[in-house]
Amino acid sequence: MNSPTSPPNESVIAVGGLSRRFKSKLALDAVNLNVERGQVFGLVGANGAGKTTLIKHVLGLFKAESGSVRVFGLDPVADPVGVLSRVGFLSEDRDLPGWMRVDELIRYTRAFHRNWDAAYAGQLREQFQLDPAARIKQLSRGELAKAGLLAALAHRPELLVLDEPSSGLDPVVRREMLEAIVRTVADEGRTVFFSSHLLDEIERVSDRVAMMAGGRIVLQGRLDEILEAHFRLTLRFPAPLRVPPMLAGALHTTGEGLEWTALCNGARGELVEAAAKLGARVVSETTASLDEIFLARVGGERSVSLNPQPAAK
Amino acid sequence: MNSPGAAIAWEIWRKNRYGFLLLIIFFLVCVGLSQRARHYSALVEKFTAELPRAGTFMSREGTRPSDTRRGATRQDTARAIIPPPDLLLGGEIRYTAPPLPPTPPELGEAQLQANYWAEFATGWSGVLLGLSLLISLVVFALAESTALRGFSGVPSRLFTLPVRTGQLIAVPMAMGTSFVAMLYFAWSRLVFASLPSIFPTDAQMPDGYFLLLLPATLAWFQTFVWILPGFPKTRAALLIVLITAAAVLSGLPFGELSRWPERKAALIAIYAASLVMAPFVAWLGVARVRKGEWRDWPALTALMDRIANVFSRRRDFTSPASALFWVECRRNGRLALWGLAVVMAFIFGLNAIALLNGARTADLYGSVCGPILLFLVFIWTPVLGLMICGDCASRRLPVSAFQAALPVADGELAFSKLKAMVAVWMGGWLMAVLGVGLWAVANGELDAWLNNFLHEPGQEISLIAIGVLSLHVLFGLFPLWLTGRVPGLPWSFVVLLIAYAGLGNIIGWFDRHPNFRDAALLLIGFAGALKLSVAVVSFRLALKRKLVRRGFVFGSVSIWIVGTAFLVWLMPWNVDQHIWDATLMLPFAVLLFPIARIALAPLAMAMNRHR
Amino acid sequence: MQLHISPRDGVPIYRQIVNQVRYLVGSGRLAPGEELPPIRVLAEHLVVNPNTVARAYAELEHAGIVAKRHGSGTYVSDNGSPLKRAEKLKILTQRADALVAEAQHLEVELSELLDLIRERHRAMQSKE
Repeated sequence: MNSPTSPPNESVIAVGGLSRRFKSKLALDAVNLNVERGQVFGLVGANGAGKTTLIKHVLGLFKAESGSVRVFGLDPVADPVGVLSRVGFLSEDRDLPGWMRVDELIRYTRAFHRNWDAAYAGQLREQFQLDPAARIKQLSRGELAKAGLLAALAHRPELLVLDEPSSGLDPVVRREMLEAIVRTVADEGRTVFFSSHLLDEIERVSDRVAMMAGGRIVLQGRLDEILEAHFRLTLRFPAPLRVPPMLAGALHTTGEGLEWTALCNGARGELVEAAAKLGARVVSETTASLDEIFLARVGGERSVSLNPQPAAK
Repeated sequence: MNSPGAAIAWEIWRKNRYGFLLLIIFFLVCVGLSQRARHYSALVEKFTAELPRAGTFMSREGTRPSDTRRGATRQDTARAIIPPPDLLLGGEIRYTAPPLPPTPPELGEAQLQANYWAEFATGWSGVLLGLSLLISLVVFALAESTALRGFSGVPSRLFTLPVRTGQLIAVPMAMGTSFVAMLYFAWSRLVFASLPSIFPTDAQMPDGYFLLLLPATLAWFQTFVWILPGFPKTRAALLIVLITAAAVLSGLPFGELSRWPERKAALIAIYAASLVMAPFVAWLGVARVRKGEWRDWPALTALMDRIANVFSRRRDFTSPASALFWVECRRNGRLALWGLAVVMAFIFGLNAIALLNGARTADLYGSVCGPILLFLVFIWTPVLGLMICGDCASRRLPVSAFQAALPVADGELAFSKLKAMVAVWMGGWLMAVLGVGLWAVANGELDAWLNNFLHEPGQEISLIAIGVLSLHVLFGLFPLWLTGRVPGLPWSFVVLLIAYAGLGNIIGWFDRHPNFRDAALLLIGFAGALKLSVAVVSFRLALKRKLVRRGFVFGSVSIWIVGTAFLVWLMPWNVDQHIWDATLMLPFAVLLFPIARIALAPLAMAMNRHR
Repeated sequence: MQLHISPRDGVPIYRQIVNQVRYLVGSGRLAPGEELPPIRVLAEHLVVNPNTVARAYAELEHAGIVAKRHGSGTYVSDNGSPLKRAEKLKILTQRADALVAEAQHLEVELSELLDLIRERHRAMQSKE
């Protein structure tokens, strides 16, 4: 099933310079992405950022207009069988056939995968508490997502691709889905590639993270490195400021009056110097959460004043 | 927008602009055709007026497009557009004209033209008027999806508007019924008035009859769509029955068995009453639906589930191919067979009523076999082909992400659809033959009917020809639909109709001009070469891209060779009957069995799956 | 072993695990020689990436708090006692830092602070 001699840093998904346009809208803009074996790769972005489009390219549901997509070294469009037999997929809209029963779905999906583990499938079904006689169109959202996840997991795929696995789900089901993901990754050599706009789950389970906005990858790297590189600096100025201070190296500044907080990346020394030049002293310094980093990087405004003054005439 | 009425009207216009455009186009085309027919019949009158003696023109008998030997005139309408099988395989339009004194050539030519154009125009007008009415039904029902069968939506969005129920139904119903009445009136006056009469008993269109029948049909169509959102299958069944009933009732003035003149007044009264009742039923029902009642019937749903569970799959699948085949059959195949069963039951029911009124079953042969055959070949078959390509109710036909992410080759997906399509189609034929046979046996008329069926030499050949024709229509625009980039019902239907009608007209033209035989041969040869080269190129490309396995190619080609050989073997039997000779029919047989479309299918599926 | 992970804390998850294990060991809730759950079990339980748990365990091992035993699992180190005391003091140091900083911020003198601590200690003793 798995190639036991594959090197640990083999590239499972390699996307190079991928662009895609839908009529007049540029959905993907020169995206470069690399997912290595055994990693959990989280794709973060707001709705419409291009996550689903990217995922569909990985599965061969979209042809690459420019650039290349390689999964296990193969082109998913030219060799769908070679790629998809090693992939388990859960789509964003969970478009499972509504008229099927759960047990029919299991039997049906089983027919396509040689390495289907029936015992594991049964175990998952019990764990997810899915009634085998229930029709898919009668399932609740959570059960539908779990059924889709079951179909994707039961053949123990080398690569698990999930498009917004937790969207629309209550916390209980969300936890179950995440547990299943963690279990997948704990098995040797299996890779997970998932997209989400819920940042706390990305933070929990990802090794590497890529942030997308407007079809472009804004930030990519190891999660812990990103978290360590960003921090929040609170500065106290001698006199109240009416407009946010411009600090070189700050991604996003917010505050009012005497105290302003900047979210920064990297060069701490430079920032403190720049702040000192403006006459401010550092009052506190904290680590930033992925949430805040994402908003700072992707959000619209560079700086926000909490007490905006009318513009001077 | 000042009032809800205006808003609804605007929405209807906006959503269905292309539908209205199509209606206008149909109307103008038929007006043109009828004017042409009128032109030629005027010529005939002119020439005959110029002749010194009376009695030198063809009898009225000969100019009537309907051939009273056959039963319902539906078949004749179809004949005028799509030449009958015996014509396809070589024949000529026969007239029951008595031997004539020699006529001047212009008169003869004008008469021929007049006859042709009258038939042509009448046939087309009938069909296009029918299509226009169907389009109107769909437009004014305000359904969210415009699929003809299996609506996916009801105007639930409209129901949540802060408008009184009475207003909500009154506006579309009033608009719809008056639109349909005006449509009919325009057609009656501007199209059918210029054409010779097609009715055995009335001199002209019975306006009063249709002006009540058609709006009543629309009103009840709307009612069923609106009051049954929770019961899609029941609703679909009722709608099918309604449309079939309307079609049959529209045919009553044409038939001779229906005792039309006596019944007319009673029927008109019934239609008027139902037209008045419809708004009330709709009002009651919509009010309930808006309150959230009538959404489901738990006992019924549980029962249907229990029945469905009997058919659920209990064995594992032996291969991906068998799993795909099962999915395709289960998803739409069952619905198609069920729809056919409903229509057949309806036709049997009507004939049972006729029996109770004293008709003889031997007389009913035409009115049972005819409609079922027509429905099967010309309506059910292409709808089946279209349904298999996609999920029934979608406007477009893309493959779902779940299916597309399965580890199967594109050709495998296409092939499974093909197999399912042919399997269900054969199932439908079987069901029809068995049904008719059982009906005949139940009435003790099996022998009489078999004689009826076989009494004309070459009748069984015609049936095989009809079978091949229906296979051809089944594949229809299969590759185009498989690409998933074109709208589904009903637009694909229109394209198909135009394609086949054009084809039929070309064949008819060559049939009427035997001196162009060489050109015909050349054309057939060219078409055959085109078909085979498309097949070869497509198969090679599909093999190169590893979309299909060699087995698929060999299998399809073998089936085609066997099928075509069978048809070629059949030809000489038919040639005796008709004028066209073997040198024309043999190449034509090459064109009949589908291969090019089968070859294109994997490539089309690849286009669908990888956008 | 009861751990609680909060992703939005601002503290990296592995560090939270390390801190909490240290606390449990220091307060005696994890006895020397007691086995820690395997990496994947803990990862599933906390719903975090196993690599994160692995990193935490590696750091704990590096600090000498836990030790791996011939591939059969991870156990709390036996030489816990002197470390326990150091750990205890370390934990209290963190709290002391916070208290002193707060006092400074509120402009309370050190002598006042010390009086306050003695008083609270007396109150707690009399309750026992």
